[in-house]
Amino acid sequence: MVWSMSDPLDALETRISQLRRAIRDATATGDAERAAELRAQLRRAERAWDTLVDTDDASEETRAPQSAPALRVGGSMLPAREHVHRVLMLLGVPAAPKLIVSVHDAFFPGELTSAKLSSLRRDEERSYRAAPGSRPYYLCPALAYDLLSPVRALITVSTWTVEQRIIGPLSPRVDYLASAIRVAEAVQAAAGSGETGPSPAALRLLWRFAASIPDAAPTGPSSHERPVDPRQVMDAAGAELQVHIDADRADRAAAGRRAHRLTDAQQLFGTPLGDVSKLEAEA
Amino acid sequence: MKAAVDERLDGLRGSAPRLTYSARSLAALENNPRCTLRAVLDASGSDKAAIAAHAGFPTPFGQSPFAIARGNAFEALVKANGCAELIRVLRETLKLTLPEVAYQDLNDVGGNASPEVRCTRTRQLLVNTALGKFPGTLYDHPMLRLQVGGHTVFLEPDLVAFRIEDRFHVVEIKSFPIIDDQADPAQVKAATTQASAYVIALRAMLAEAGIGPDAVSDTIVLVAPKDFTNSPTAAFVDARKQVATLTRQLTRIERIGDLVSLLPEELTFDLAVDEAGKAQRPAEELAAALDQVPALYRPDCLSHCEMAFFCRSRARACASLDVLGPTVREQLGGIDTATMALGLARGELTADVDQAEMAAALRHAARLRAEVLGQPGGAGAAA
Amino acid sequence: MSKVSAMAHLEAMEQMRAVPLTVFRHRRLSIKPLVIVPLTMAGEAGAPLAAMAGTARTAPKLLVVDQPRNRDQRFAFAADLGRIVMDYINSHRLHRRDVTSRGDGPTSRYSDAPQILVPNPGGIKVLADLGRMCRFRKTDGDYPVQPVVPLLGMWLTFLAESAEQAGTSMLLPVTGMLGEHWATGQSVMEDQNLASIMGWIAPADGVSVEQAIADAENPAVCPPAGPATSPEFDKTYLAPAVKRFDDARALGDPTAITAAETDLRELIGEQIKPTWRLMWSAISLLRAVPEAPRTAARFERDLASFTAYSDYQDEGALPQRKRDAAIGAARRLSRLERAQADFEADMAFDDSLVLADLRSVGEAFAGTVTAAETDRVVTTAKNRRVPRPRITVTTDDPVRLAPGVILISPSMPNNHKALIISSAPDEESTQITVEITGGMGRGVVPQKGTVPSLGQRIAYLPDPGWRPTPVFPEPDSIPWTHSSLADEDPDTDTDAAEGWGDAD
Repeated sequence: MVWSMSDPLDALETRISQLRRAIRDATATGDAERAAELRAQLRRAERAWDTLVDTDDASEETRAPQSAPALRVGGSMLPAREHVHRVLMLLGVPAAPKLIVSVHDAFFPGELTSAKLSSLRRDEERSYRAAPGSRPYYLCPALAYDLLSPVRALITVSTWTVEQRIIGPLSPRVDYLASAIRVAEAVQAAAGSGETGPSPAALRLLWRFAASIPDAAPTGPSSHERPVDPRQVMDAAGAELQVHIDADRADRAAAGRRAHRLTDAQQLFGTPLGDVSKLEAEA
Repeated sequence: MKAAVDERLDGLRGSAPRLTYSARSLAALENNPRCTLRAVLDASGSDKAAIAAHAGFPTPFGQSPFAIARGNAFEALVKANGCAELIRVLRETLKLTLPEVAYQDLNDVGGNASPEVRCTRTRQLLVNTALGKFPGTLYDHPMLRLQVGGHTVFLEPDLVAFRIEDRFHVVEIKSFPIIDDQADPAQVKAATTQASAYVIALRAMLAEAGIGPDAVSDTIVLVAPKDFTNSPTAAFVDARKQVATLTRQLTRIERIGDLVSLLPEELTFDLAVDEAGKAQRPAEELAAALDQVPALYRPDCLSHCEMAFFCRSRARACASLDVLGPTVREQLGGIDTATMALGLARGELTADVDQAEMAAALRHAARLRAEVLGQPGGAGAAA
Repeated sequence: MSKVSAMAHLEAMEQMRAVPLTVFRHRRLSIKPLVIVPLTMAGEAGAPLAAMAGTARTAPKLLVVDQPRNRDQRFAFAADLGRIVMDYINSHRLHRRDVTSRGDGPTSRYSDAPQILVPNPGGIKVLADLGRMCRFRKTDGDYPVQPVVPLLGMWLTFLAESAEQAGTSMLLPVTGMLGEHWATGQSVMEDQNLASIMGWIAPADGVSVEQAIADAENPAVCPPAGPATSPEFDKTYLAPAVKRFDDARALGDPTAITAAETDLRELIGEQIKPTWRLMWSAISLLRAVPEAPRTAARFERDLASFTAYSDYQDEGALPQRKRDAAIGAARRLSRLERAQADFEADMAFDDSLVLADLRSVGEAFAGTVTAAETDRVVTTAKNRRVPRPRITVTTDDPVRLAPGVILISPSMPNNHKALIISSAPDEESTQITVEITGGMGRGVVPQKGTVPSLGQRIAYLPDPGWRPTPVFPEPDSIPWTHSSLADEDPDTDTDAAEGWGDAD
């Protein structure tokens, strides 16, 4: 090496590379215990090296502030299914867990996580099957228009008509546009209600909707600095909705007619594994 | 005839289960097509990583969980909310019209995610769409099927988009960024090659229904994060060349018999795995078996072939010029080893007629180095 | 690459150790370089994970981003690194000296320029990306950053652009510097692994080159020099540590946060410090290689461009464009090509091994003067009598230069110029007659020592010479170093406005 060995730093550096080799050998022979022991030694050696060279902590001064998630009060004691129900009633269309969480954060107090949502969905079906109809509503999956099988990625409410809960080829877009309108309405309502106005999360959500609907977002220079106008989002989403709505309704209605032949439970939670040969016949 | 080849390939693989091709491994065919070792290992469905590891050269390949998570998160983001972001981007690039938003989720069929069922459903939908019997635009994770060397390979593009009255476009969603309209060329190339496999498979599937290759565009749509954001942007990538190259490589696989017939009858890469799952075959014996098949090592194999470290050790052992890479290699056309090159340079070896000119140039080069470094005699002549 | 360089690689392969490829080091090595070892998180551009930076082996600063997907932490990191880089750059903006100005450039220059060293070309890419990510950021508005962030962005962009130009020294990859001077018995790609190329040049005591290069590819022994960390490390150590940090933050437990941070710093320190040490070992090795004479002249150009950019910054700079317009791109390409040709000629002029490369392909020659007509005089069109001595050089080199080529010579005084008159191959050797056209003084009789004498050893190579700077139409009067946002798309700031990697 380049320096004389009298330097304690050099001695340490030699030791460190020896340790690394030894760890490699221990790992190669599958001696996990020895490897862990050597790793601890390596850490000690690295720490000693730190002391000698005095690695200082330059980032201390500007470490990002550690903001603990703000705890909002009021209504936070509701069970998760109530939160989800409230969000779905606001949107009025089947929605994915992620969107449900975003809408919840934008408009409602309390904590709702995606993790809670997934356990919830299993519970709902179990509860229904144990005692059908004992609850005022159930959270159930959307149904695929072709096989009437559950579309597990989307959540609906049992009180909706089966047509509302069916997903046809155009429905993802139709539902997205419908959600945009409902979110814009909620933002407008919050703005009108004085007091605090819409939350930053609500404005961000609206901005995200606006960004992927033609003519929904302000255009021109420094457009990103101007707030999104809820009215404009409603108009733009409504305009695109007109393009798809009739075809989508027709698809849903046709599938709905088939769904009415199913059992009640199947109408809510879908038919088991789809039969592809049936599709083949239809295609 | 075909069966005989398959039997030979099964023999080469031995008792291990057959590994099937994936889009990634098909794309990798483009990387060193003339390497026999690789062709034979791939065609026989052998587990290259396990073989290399047992021969003493474990592969350091692997993807960081951060990269995997990022890739999945980006794809989910692009497809969230009825593909809202994707529709925005495709309206910009593919000029999708407003009514073209129909979405078909082919990740499973009524909860059944088996490749066969998904593939049947995919064929049904896409063929009917191509024939104009069924309106559809976005097909999420369709399942395609391709015959490679007589074996079925299932391939699953991120998305296929159908532009009305036009053609299918393979949409490849990648999480490497397009910064100021520029993306890393190596990553774009890898993505394009992978998409080429989908183009070929999609064409093959439609061909069964009598639909011509023009129904599938060989321009792919690359969807990737714009700059340093999560917001997707899209770009067209011309995949014509890679579709042609990959088609050629697939034809070569069909002719694998020609390569296999040159190998010793009893050759096998079987690891002799015991009940406990431990390979029992002596490593030297395995290495000796591998040595029976000519490999074509190049340094860039290190970044994509599981056998590369094994092959490099072989190349080093015989002082092959391959270890130095193409820049050095092309200076020494017609010469294979460092021993030969240095021998000619020092006049210790006699050049044959073909090498005479090269030998003279090497002697001159050695003399120049010696002159500058003040060494007597040839280049670093052995003391 | 020529057969002479190829020969060096063959020797290295045979002897299992690196051998010199050049006589000199052709890159300036600052007495106080700023070493930066950047690490990024796999899979995401512009997600810095950590950096170790400093101007002395014993004084590294370790910056760690606890959650690389968090935008605020990214820019806090950029601000920290920005302070280190700007302190370093500013320390080179203290002393100016006058220069004789040609044209209307500045009349004085800073007397020193910064030099940032990174491990490999990937490190330069990281700094360039960081520059791009930071230079458009605003210090006010919805997503404010600290003022040092856009400043860092502009300077890193300036440095990264300078690094594309051959012969500059303000931002360099150490593997590149090592590979320029030493030939190894492996490929260019493998030479970009710092531990590997160092293994060929100076393996640790008691370790063979074979062992050293094997270790270099084993992330357990030699953690990668970045920018990406090893996938195995990510999986086994980093991902759990980042998760612990996230969990601690979610709980808002200060003790747990501190513990998680400490853990993460220790982990990353363990990955980054071996590279840090290797960087300084490499610098020591490079320092021991004598610097090529013409490096000083090239450094003057670095000083000029550093001063020009620095002055522009002082006037209140705008960030560089996202991409060059057509004319700017053409001008830039021409500048890069010119710099490459000049750098190659400089190296050949200075360095007899580089010259040997050219000689082996017939683009230069060296030999003995076997005939000389030293008192030859001609009358010019303007009726002036000038000395035009002719000499014949006999060389073994396979010369491919045609009559009419203008030559310069490292064996003669600086202004020496000559012209090939004829070239006659003769068995093994070639006789080349050249006419001396310059560098002999103003008189009819050449000054002493300006004409090669009989029996003298002399080398000639083509004069890269003066070429007119290509003229491009001026889109505006703004010089290339400067930029205007006027013709940029108006949404330059949308990056800041949208979601970022909130990791949701």
